[in-house]
Amino acid sequence: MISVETARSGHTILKKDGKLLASSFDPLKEASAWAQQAIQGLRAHDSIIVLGLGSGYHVQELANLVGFDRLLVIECDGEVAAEAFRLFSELPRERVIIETDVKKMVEMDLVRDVLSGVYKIVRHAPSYSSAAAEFGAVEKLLLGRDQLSFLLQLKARPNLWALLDAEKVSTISKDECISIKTLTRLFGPKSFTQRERHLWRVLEELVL
Amino acid sequence: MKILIVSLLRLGDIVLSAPVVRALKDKYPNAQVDLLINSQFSSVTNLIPGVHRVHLFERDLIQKGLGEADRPLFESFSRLENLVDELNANDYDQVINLTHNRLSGWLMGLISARAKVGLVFDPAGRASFGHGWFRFLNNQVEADGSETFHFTDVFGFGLGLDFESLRQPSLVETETGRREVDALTSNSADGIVVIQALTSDVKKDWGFSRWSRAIESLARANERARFVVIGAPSERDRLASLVSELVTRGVRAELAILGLEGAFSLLKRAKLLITGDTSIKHLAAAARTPIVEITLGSSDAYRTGAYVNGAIILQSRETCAPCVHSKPCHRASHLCAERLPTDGVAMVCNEVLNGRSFQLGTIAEEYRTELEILRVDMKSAGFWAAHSVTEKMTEASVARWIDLKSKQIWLSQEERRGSEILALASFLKKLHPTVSPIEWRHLFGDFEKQAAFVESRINGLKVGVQYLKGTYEDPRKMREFIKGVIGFRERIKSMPLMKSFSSSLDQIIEDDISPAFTKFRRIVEAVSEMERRTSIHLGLVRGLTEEMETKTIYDQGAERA
Repeated sequence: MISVETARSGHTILKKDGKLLASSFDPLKEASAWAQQAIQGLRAHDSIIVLGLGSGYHVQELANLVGFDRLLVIECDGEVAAEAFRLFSELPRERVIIETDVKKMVEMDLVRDVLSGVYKIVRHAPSYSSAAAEFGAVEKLLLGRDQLSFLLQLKARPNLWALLDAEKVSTISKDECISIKTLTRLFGPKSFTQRERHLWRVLEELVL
Repeated sequence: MKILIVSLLRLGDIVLSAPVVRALKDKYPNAQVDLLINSQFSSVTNLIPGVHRVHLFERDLIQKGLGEADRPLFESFSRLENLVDELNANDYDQVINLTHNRLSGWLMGLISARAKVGLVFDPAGRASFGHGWFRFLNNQVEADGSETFHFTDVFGFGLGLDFESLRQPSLVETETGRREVDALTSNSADGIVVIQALTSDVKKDWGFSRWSRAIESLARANERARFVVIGAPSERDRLASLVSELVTRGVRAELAILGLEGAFSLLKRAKLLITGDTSIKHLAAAARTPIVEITLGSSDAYRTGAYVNGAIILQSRETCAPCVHSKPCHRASHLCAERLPTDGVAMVCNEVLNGRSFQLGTIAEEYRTELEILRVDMKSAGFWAAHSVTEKMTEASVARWIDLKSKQIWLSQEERRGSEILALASFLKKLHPTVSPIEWRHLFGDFEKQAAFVESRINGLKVGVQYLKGTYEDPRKMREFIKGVIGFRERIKSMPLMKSFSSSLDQIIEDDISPAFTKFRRIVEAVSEMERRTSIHLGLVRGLTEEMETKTIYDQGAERA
């Protein structure tokens, strides 16, 4: 259940099932510090995927630093999203995905678009802990390091998918941790002429 | 014209590519020259003039993405893909690989360009080099350093650049650098001696106790000298202990933690740099600071020594040096460092600091079992040449220079032999000023006989190749031919001028796995190479014979007497 409260600083904040989704003292200050931390190590043109919309302050602060075009927010709770949009009417709804099913998520154009580039995953801790299982599944998808997530991620990379040997792909076990070595073994015999395979060849030289 | 230079090794290698940038701009004044380097070294480009754009290879970030399970699996792939797209958006006319490792070779295969020079792997993994010089670089990995060329020469000659351009200063001082050292260098009356005591590899380090003793000796002979020990921020604590030890010994020493720009500015004002094998020596070379370089461990002075005329290189006489780069020292203790005499090093530095060189030979003789002293000559031979200050005129030593000049002509496909003969003659006369024309004539006469013998044997090999042409699939015929080649190889091993041919013959003799056609093709190429090189050898020897007929100092002195 979502409730609306006022922080000591006078800002409106959200509470979900009794848990605060922003600082009860100064959500703006907290959001600003969080955003500064989130952009550490970010390179030009990298996207940021934020897990949790919360009260919206952190997303707004992050957008002030990098722009909405480089953000994708994933929120698992529709009610939270609705309240956050009421608080921040200027938040672009098209940059917020409200979904828990990772299979449906990966079919969305915007998600595929972001997944096919470089992105950093940042958690909004209060949001994440309020729906840890749901956000955990999303995070796994975004990392792509387990069997299901890896296969779902390949949907965003059809050129790469086409180079893999289907029979070898079927040998990936459910509990295997996917790495570059996994990919090396999955490439089909005719893949070497293709650009994607060549790119992976460069990466293989960097694996210590 | 748009040119991209790929330099993905370390800082020193990037600085070594600066002469190439300069020479390219001399040759193509309107060309846009871009660099692709590792992001951690981006600040060095402030010192390199003429660079239009610097692309950064985020090696550390890409490796993290590959190795850390809490980073998206495809992060590194996407980063690399973005970089390649960024590079290809420039539509380069030429891409030059100065890195020469597998990573760069594969990456080169992804960059589009009308022409590529240097190691390139195609998608199937086949290597191409774009020029004979770069193929030579690849084939010379195992060769002794004294039989090969400095990397900057290889790069420059492989790109058809003028050696005169290559040896001009190639870095510029910046305002940032000047400000960094203003306070340090404001008192210009004292001579500054810069000390770079630490290297990136413990095998190359000489050890603080030896540095202290050497610097103390040098300081006693030069009371007005200030010794500035430089290093990176991460080295501050260690270097502070060295400085403290020096001060205790009565040396005017201080520590300066500087960025690259500051280090360059300091070197421009210094009277001497004493250094291990580090990128700082390349900055000093560009700053024209007198250099004494201490090469230990895996340091290979012949390939990566300071690229400036007059630099002095000190090498340990330990038989295991240079050792393998990637492996730890295999001796019970770090003998190459331990045996390098501190007094000897101090004496050499004293000579260089005071602008003298006539004692170097005496010092080299005194410490001949422990220390070799090399001097860099970039004015005479037409390539970077490091020679012992006590080099004697022997068949082997002169043959080495002729062989190098011959390789230079062969690889550059030059026809201007006259100027090369003059350059070599000038160099040899400088090395051996008192050798008489008669002695030269005898030596070159022997060389001519060696080359003529090889020439006749090569004619025989050519006949053999013709015979083998239709029969190379027959293992018996091939074995017969190889037997003849083995005999030939054994003969030329005893010929100082011709023995470098044996490596070409080794490749034929020791190839047990190639299919017959490939082996035959390699034989044809090797015979053709040896024929051409022998012709060059003969031309050089005959030309030198004529040149050396002019009077030497010895003859002039004798006449005056």
